[in-house]
Amino acid sequence: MFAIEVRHLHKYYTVHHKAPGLMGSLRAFFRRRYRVIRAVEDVSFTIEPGEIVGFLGPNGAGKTTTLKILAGLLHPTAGEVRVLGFIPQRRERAFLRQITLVMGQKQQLLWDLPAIETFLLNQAVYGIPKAEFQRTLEELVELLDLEGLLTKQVRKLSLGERMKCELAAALLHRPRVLFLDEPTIGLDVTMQARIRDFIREYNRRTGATVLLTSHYMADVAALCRRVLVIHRGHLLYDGDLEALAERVTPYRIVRVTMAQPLPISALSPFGEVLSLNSHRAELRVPRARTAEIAAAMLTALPVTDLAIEEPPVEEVIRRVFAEAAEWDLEQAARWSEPEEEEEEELEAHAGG
Amino acid sequence: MQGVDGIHEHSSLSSPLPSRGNSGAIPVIVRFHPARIGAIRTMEVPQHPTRISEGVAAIRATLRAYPTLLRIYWARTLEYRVQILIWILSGAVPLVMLAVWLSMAREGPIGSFDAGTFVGYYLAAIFLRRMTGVWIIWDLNRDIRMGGLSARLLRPLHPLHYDLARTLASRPLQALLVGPPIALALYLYPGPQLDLTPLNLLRVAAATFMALLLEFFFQYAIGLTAFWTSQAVAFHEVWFFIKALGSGYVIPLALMPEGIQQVLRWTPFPLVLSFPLEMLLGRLPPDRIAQGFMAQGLWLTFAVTLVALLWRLGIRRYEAFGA
Repeated sequence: MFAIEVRHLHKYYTVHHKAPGLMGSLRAFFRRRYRVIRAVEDVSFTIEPGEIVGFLGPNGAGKTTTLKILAGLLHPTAGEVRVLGFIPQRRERAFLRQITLVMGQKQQLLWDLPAIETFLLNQAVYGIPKAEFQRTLEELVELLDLEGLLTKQVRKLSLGERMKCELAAALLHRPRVLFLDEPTIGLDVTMQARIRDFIREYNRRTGATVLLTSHYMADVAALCRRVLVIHRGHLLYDGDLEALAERVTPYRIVRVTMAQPLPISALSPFGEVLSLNSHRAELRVPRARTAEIAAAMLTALPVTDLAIEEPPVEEVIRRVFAEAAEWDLEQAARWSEPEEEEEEELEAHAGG
Repeated sequence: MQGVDGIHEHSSLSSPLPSRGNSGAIPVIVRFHPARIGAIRTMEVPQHPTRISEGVAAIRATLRAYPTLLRIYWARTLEYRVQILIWILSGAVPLVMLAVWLSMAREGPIGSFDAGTFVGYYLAAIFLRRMTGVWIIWDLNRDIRMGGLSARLLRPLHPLHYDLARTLASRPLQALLVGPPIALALYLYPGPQLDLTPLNLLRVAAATFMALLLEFFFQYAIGLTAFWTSQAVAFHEVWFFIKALGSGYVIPLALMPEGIQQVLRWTPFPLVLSFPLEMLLGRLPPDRIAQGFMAQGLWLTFAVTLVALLWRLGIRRYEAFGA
């Protein structure tokens, strides 16, 4: 059985919108104008138990909406969703006891009390046996370095400390499926790395399935072999991060160290020189010709070291989103009617 | 549509992104790993426990969680020292009313109330109000509209229990702070007649607890309208205003015109304060006491049902804003 199955998932929101200003407010009071936001459109994927999958997409792509549906917070408009075989929105106890959703900016910790009180509350709510609770807590204290933080009032903790406590609170019941929405948002680099290591270690120790979104590509690159790319509610890609890199960035990076400094003119015939710093240089070469070019450089230049690398993940993602923007334009060209309608509305308003 | 071999294709959805495993002219997104092909067709649902056994397990788990919930919210109550002060100060309204009535009763009793009865009535009202007052509407409204409900929805305990536990956990402190001065005042002022027999105190305690639950569930029901409207707090204002008059908090119901008393008898308002209060003063005949308990039971059943219904309908609309 899959840990997560999503089939033809749709989620539409209805929002009412109003023009700015007093007249706009008055009009909205008498006649509400509604618009349908298509947050998720026909998304399907499956995730195996124990996988760590990265969920990528720009703001407003539908990542968080999908996570909320998977965690049972939102009802899907259409489509089928199963998490550990459960239908999430029924929020059965057996389901809730096996999942967790961590949202970077939202907290479950009781603000005015020490974190340990929230932990004890969770112990009671999840019905965790005392011995198991102690064991898990000790493990989490060790992994997340929580010593001394548990008895401090939550409101007196730093953001990073609080995030660590949030994670611990969300994992005390040893969930089998973790939904992590921006778990490292707002944290410094060291803390990000720490949380990342922790997620990997938790996955290794417990075999839990992890689906995470992050704006920090380092998170995704370090944790996820597989990524889902979502844009405007549509799933654009599902597969290996490496394969994605190969397809959207048709080049590789060649890094060379030379016995003596060379001018840029000596290097540029081999590829696009990205940087040159006396002995060291970085070149961008077409993916298909990488081996050939590397061999040529080794014979023609006084190379002491040569390495071939994949382009950085940020670059890959940037390209994916750039292409997604092109996709937008195509869609807009295809479905131009709704836009015209909107313009008419605006004109009518300006006239009135 | 479902392609052969379980490959899921969308030819209508052209994408500039590279496709996997397709070399056709139309860009096609292939969404599943080859290893997963085919398996997507069968969505197995594991054997779930029956509704009844699930329900019993839920109730047992809830009861087991309550001691901890109460202890933690008791600790939290103690953190809010300003709120405690406000509790004490906001209890002063009946004192003002008492002063008004006392000046009018100087000439002689008003209806069945003499000066002593007024003193007993309003001082006891202060105490009972502290025992039955519920303040959840604002939090509930905010949680629903700002998405704060999400964190609670993720846990295997109905979100209502956090609010109920918080409401119950603040009682001992309020009783401790307001009880002794009221008791002292009643002892010092000559005249107020209270029925302090053990049986009656027990009955009053039971009726007060029922009144607290009534208040809680009605307020919760009003709070749940936040799923549909941003005006839930305004609804509560209406409820609060009618309740202030209809529960005997401002004016003893016995002094109101008979017609109004008749109408109020068909509402839950007298049950949240006037009923335990008049019982404490020993002003209720046994048949009215029995009727009162029955009415409390019926209204509570109604309120709980209403909450369950609104919850079930509303939660589908919950959009977890900003959460």
